[in-house]
Amino acid sequence: MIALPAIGAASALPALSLVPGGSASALAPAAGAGGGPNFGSMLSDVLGQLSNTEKNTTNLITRAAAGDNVDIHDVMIATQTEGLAFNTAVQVRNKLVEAYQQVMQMQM
Amino acid sequence: MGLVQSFGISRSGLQVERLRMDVVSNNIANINSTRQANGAAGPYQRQMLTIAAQSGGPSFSTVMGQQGGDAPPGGVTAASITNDPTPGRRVYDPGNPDADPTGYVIYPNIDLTVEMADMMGAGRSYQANATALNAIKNMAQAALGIGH
Repeated sequence: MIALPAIGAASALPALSLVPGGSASALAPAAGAGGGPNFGSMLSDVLGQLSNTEKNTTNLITRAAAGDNVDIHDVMIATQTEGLAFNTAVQVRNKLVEAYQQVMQMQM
Repeated sequence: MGLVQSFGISRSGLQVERLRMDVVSNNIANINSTRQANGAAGPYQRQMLTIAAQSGGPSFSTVMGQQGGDAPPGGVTAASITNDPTPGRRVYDPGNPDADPTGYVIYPNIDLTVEMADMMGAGRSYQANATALNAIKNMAQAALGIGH
């Protein structure tokens, strides 16, 4: 009995088009049957929020290094928030890629 | 409640404790000030910081259209900096330029032991808020480890 792998992953990527042959370039956003957000927009959303956080943090660090009236705890909180946002983006990417690979490995 | 809002609670605590420390430092620095900053008559009066809790927005019940309910946690804010009206100590010094007609100079009503106790309290509260912040960060990192 072949257990269907990663049912949850398949439902998390409703727009993934299963191109026979399974090349990496097949990861193209397509109108999914579920109508949910596609993979490309999900990843670009996460990266956009990450770059915003990073801009704020570098601005704060520059002002602190220049001697501006910036509290040290604000700088530390900003760096920690940015680190967590970055780790979250990495984990999201890992899970999405892992789910994609499991779907690609399905025998048709 | 997102991570930024959770950090915001401890961050408000850190800011208020820093401000409280600044007020204590100001009191200690002005322990011998016989004139006020704006040139008004009288010595420097001891400053006190009033700290108030802060609401984190409308309560869940209010958002749902019902009465009552407690607001979500929103941290703390500094309400005001007020002067302590207690009269200061009088020292007999007729030669002092700030002496009143009877020859007494009035020094600020600042007790160094009280200020030192406030200073230690502010420092410990600051550390406690930083510990809470670290605990929130550890929780977020533990969440990132789900599925490994």
